[in-house]
Amino acid sequence: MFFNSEKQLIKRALQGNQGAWASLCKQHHSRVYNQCLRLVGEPQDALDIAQDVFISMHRNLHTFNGNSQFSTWVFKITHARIVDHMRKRKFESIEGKEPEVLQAGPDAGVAQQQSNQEIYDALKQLPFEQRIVVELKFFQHYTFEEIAMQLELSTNTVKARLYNALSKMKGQLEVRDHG
Amino acid sequence: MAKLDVLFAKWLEGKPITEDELAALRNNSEYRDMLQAATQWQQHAKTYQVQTPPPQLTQQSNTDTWSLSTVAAWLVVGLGVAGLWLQNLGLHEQMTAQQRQLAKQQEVIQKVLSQFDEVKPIEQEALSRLVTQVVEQNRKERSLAMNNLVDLIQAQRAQDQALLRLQLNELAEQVEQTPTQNLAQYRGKP
Repeated sequence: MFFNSEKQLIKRALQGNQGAWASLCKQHHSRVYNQCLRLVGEPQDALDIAQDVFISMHRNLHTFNGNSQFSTWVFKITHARIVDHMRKRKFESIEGKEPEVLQAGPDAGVAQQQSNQEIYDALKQLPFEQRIVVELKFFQHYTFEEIAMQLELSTNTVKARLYNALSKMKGQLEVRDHG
Repeated sequence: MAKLDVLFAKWLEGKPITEDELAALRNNSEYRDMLQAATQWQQHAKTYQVQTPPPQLTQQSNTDTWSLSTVAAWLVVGLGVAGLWLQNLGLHEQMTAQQRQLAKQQEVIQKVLSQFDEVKPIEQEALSRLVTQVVEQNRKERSLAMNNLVDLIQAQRAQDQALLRLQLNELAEQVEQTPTQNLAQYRGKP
């Protein structure tokens, strides 16, 4: 069989099929990595988190019951690992450890890096709970209801967080315009 | 205000709103700024260059990235399996042909047996008729032979009797011609 549905891949991965597991990872690794990159803004951290995400996925694959989409389940794990990372990072900054400087990847163009850097910087200005809503709304294109379901919040809370993020951006724009 | 909130949410969800509704949002300072910020985020999302995950992550997840030796080993195994498969295919074909032939033979045997079953009663009748005929013939022949034998014996006896009569006549003639002193004297009592 040359084409496998996600369901079949999960089933086979659970049976210990390494190829199926590799295919599942291949389907999600770019999305997970880029999501981590946008939310933490640093490639090395994003890589660490993404690796943790795949380890968690592997350990907990048997808990995926198929009630939601696999991508939603992956996002929940990603979210949890990012939250863990943020807590750890917060602790380290209190301890006086400086965050790592963003290093450009070997294959990344300079213009591309600059464009993405602006996005990372803009996202970094937002508190994490707002950043994640912006990520899901504008980069993942989810509806308010889907975001609420993934974050286990009410739709109104999600809207409030997004509006706050947008209002905050207005302040940044004003600063940039005046600067 | 509540109406504007609904309109803004609708716009954010990508649902179509009219020019008038969009103008109403733009006319409100709070929503105008949010609209502008949201547009900017949408622009960011469009211009964002998807980053290729570093090789560490790809290698970690790509357990199916095989080395040349693995590929070669699999190739050898594959060739072996293919050889066995081909050999097996030949044997299978032969076996199938044999099975087919056996089935044909069984079919023929079955047909012959059924024909034999059909023929059997007729043959038995003919056989019985033949046996009866043979027995009758034998009986006739035997009877004829017996008659011949009886005839032969009777003829033989007649010939013997005739010969005896001739001999007796000859003897009687000899006795009549012989002198009496040459005859034996019977001296006993009569």
